[in-house]
Amino acid sequence: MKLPFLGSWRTALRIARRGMIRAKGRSALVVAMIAVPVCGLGYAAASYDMFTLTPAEQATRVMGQADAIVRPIRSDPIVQDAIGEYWQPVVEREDDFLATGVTEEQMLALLPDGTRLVPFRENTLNLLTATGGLVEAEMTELDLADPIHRGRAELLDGRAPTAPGEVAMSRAARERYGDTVRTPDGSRVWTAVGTVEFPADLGERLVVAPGGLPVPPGLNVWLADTPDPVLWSGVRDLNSSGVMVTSRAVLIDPPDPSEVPVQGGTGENTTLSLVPVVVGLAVLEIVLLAGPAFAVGARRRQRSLALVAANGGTRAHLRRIVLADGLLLGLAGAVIGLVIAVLLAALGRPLAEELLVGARAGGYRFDPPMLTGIVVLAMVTGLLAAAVPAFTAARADVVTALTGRRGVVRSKRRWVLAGLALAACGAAIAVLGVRTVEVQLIVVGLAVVQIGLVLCTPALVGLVARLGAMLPAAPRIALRDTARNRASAAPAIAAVMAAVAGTVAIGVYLTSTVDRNRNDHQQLLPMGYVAVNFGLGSDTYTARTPELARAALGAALPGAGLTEVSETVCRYDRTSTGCQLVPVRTAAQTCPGDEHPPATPAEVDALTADPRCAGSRIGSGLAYPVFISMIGGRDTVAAVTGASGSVLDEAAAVLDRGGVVVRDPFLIDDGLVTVAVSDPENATERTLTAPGYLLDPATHPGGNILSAALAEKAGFDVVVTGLVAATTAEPPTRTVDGLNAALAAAGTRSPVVESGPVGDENPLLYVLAAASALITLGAAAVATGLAAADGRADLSTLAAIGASPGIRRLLSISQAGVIAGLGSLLGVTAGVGSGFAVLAATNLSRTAEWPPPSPYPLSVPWLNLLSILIVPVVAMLGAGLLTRARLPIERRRPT
Amino acid sequence: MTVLEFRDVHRTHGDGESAVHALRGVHLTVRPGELVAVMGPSGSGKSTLLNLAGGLDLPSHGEVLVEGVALDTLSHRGLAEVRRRTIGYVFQDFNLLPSLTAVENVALPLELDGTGIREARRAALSALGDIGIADLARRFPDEMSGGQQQRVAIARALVGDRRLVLADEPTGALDSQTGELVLRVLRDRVDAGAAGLLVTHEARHAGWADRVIFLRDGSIVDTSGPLASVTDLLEPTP
Amino acid sequence: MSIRNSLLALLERGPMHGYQLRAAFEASVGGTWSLNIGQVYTTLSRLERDELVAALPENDEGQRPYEITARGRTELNQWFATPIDRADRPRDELAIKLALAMTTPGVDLASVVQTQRVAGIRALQEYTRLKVSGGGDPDDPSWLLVLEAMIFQTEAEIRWLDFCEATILRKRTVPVPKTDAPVAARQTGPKVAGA
Repeated sequence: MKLPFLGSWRTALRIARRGMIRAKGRSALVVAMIAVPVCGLGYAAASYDMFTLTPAEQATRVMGQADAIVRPIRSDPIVQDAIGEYWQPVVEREDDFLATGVTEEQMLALLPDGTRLVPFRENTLNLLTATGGLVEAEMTELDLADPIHRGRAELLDGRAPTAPGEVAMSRAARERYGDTVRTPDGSRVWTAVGTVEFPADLGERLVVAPGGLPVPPGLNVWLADTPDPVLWSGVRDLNSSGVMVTSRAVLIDPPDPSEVPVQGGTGENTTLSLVPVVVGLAVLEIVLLAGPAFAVGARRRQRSLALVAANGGTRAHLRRIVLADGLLLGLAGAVIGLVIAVLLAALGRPLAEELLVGARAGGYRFDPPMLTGIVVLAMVTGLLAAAVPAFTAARADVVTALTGRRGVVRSKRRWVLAGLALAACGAAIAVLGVRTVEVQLIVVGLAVVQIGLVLCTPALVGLVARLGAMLPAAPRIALRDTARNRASAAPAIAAVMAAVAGTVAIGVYLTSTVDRNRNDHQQLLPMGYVAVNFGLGSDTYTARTPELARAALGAALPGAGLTEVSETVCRYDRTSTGCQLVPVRTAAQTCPGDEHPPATPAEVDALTADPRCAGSRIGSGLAYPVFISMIGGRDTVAAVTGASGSVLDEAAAVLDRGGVVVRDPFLIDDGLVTVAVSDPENATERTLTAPGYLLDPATHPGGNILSAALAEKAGFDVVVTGLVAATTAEPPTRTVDGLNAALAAAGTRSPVVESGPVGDENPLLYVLAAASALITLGAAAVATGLAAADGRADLSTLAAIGASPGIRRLLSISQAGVIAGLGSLLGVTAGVGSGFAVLAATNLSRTAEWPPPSPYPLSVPWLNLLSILIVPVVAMLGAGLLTRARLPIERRRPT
Repeated sequence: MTVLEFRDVHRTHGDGESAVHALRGVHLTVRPGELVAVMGPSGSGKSTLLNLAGGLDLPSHGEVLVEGVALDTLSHRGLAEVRRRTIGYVFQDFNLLPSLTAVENVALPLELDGTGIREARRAALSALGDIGIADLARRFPDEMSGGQQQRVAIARALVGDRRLVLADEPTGALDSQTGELVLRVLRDRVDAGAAGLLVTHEARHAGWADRVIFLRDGSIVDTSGPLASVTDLLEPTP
Repeated sequence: MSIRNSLLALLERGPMHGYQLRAAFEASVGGTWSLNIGQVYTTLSRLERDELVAALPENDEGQRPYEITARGRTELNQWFATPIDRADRPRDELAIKLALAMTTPGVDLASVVQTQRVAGIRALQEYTRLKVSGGGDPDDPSWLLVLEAMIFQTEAEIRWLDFCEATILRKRTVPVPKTDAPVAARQTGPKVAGA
């Protein structure tokens, strides 16, 4: 009583606590609404924490037990950054030379006495996968038995490779390559003897014994075990000898930035980071998810609140009671969510390591300040979400509440206008954010759009309700209920909207990535076709190779029509394919950016809009053509491009006339194609012109095909260099594997199977999409559950006046359908908008470079949207199943 | 022909030590044109009796028959059908669906029974007209007074060919004048041939009944039938 | 109920003879109270003695109408203006009866109460029926007023019975010795609740 303020808060908290206990179901739902997103955030935070390494851990990952990594770079002094990744010479010189071939003795001379040097070398090389594909893999050459590598590379089982034909592989590599690894030409073969793991990289790694790397890199690298830690001064000393150093001591205790002459990474990374967008939208989702819980709660408690008012409670008291609700439930939700999150993060760590991060976590640890931050965030969110209902409840008419009438909320025109204005405003902000590549602006914009949409929901609901006058009873009641109980329906719809929007936004990104891959994919052959290049002139090529290859293809793909493909060869050396005929664009048809890189954003924009530059993009799907300088006629066109009918006839006719069949419209100028004659022995530039025929590149794969007449004109011979097998479907992996082996034996290059664009392989996004879909379902269930709790009395009434169990179930289903359906509709709108905004910003942010990466297409994730349909359906099913079909036996009131 | 019949009806809630015997061996018949009032103190089983009569609850023992059909032999669907075709239920707190207009509320049982929406509305409108509140048809429940809502609720309970009207303290939430109005509507309906069962704790409302039964601890302890003539009541002033 | 004042009130409408007065009286109380014609004439002669009414000449059928005098009008106005004092009304026989039953050994109090209640309900049923069937003059609602008064009184009595049964009578454990006098204090009060 001495502290009236605290006293009334205490009363409010007590009332809130009692209320929670009395309405267990509702409280549980509210807690769940808060716990679900908190769990997501908490999981992310805890995982981030576990995967963020301490400097000492980082050092061990990089250099094992060594004190430093030393890399001789140049013979003249250099300067470097603190972590030994970026360097530049002290004096820029024209004769830019690298310090190749520095020996161990030379290196030791620069280091203190008693230093032990352990060499390791890494290089990337092409290897054949178990399924016969060609993959660029990272191979490391080191002595796994040396304890100095502990913490950097660990031998999990088996033994360290010692002989030249032995390899230790990571688990991922083993899955990909099998027990035997070979180079594409079959010249080198390794057999797995052990499993190795690089904690920093759980991807495909291979370790061979010292001296086993087929193609050694130019620069040598050593791990150095020095008697004393290598301090920053020591690093600077070595720099003056042209050696770059990564020192454990420096990593753990980095020098003051002022002492570091150069900073790594020139800070020109303009690629948009999606992290703030994701976090920002996640927070928005929490608020929108928790909102309906409190709104419904406050409404349901209107009577008890009115009683408090009737007993002399001020509006402040009422506000406090509802806010105390928010505080307690927010706290409960946050704590529960966090506990689940931490458990998930800890138990799911191995999965996360392998699927999501691809590296081992530093350890089991949780950052209390960050987790506390999340709890505080959830509580503030709870308070915020409770605030609106709190003020509404405090303003509610006591008499109306006491008589138990449901207040009618007519949607006020100004709210709708405000909502529309906010949505428009938010869109403008988001667009501005996109234009200026300001992540914060985008997030704020998207948030404002969503809040605007939320404000519009009641009006939308009202609109929809008007449409339902002649519907059967159950859906009509559901629509009217939603329309007349806007105070609780709107937040529930908003919650579903928020969750769906998140899922859809992720879906937009995923779809766009897949579409981009597809756009970037350069199809070499018709789908499923198999081509093999004999590898004319290579070491493995023998006179019998074509014959063996034909037999191998015929055996592996019975029934597939085989077509011989010819290429130009030099007349003076019929094994050299260096003599080529290459159709080229005339100067006027060339993308100006190729010759003169753009200097200003305006120029970049101009180039981006230039159709001639459409091909000048850095894509993700680069592929080397199987045949370069193809000479052929009708058969070749059919086999390589899949053309048929009149198109094939016309193409064949052009070739017969000595022409060229091309796929790039800009190669043809006034009906003629310019063909560059390339001869390694003759540097003079010669060109020929010939009539051109354009195949639509969208429907026809393959490359350019020239007529034999042109080869004759250029003075080149033509020989058969490969085969194309016209399959009816993509051959299965097993067939391809067998073919691989047979063709390797025949001495050809490995076969190329056209299997279309590869899917996006980033599992993180799929996990995110799955989690988001789950949250969406949960949110829809909880939101509709809360809204349906309101309608329970109506269900009893319906039962009493003779509605069959089916009708009652139909009402619940309709209620869920209205809320989940409207929410999904808005969510799809907001999600597609958000996704497009982010994609557009990403595209724009990358156009500063030239040639730019290929843009993300703004594609609508139809499949994803279809799966969003599941949300209302599942919500409806759930509501249907959970509706008590039995009669409400419980008394309406004590007799 | 009896419309409603209770045959040795027992209803026990819970079991063992905590069992509550709401009704013990109730026999009761209600005929067409008869309004029976049920009186008794709190906890005597009045509401249980009504719930059983309305098919909202089933007896633990004995039978409740509506138009000769034992309710416990019916499926949920069948029970629901009886509730919407034969029985009209009037609650103390009206229990109109707040999201439907008066006419829609009244039309609801017909609609649930498969009548077309337009036809059901026409019937509902005439039912509202019968009790003189046709002008309220387009109002929503929260736009009406308690008495108006209860009359709509009665219209809902009477629409169609209902043979049994059950009323659970229908005037409890109303002032006496409005309550009178509501009972008059009920009485008229019964006089027109329906059977009525009215649970009330107010003697003046029981006065509208043809027969009053008194419940105590789940049993019928007394029945007041109709009197021969009014003069029996006239006592000379002392 | 004062018949004297009732007749004065009826004569205020205009001159009436004895039979007319009786019919008018019964109509205004809705037939719930029948009046003996002898009672009418006795009362009229007392009123004439007190100069509150005056007899008019006999008519052709030999009936003598009476009319109200100025003095009678004053008396009537005074009657309407004065509330009826509860103390003036006769002692409540039912209260006395219950009080006695409570203290008399061997009496089943519950059945006394129930019998009385059933009687009350019956009365209510009848009154209600009268009310619904419109027993009195539809143009003269005064009979309804009397009827309602009786309904309210009966209802009050039943509520009083309910109340007594639920509270006071249940406490009875030991009959009071026979010598004890009935407690007069219990007879008033409950009836007030009917108003």
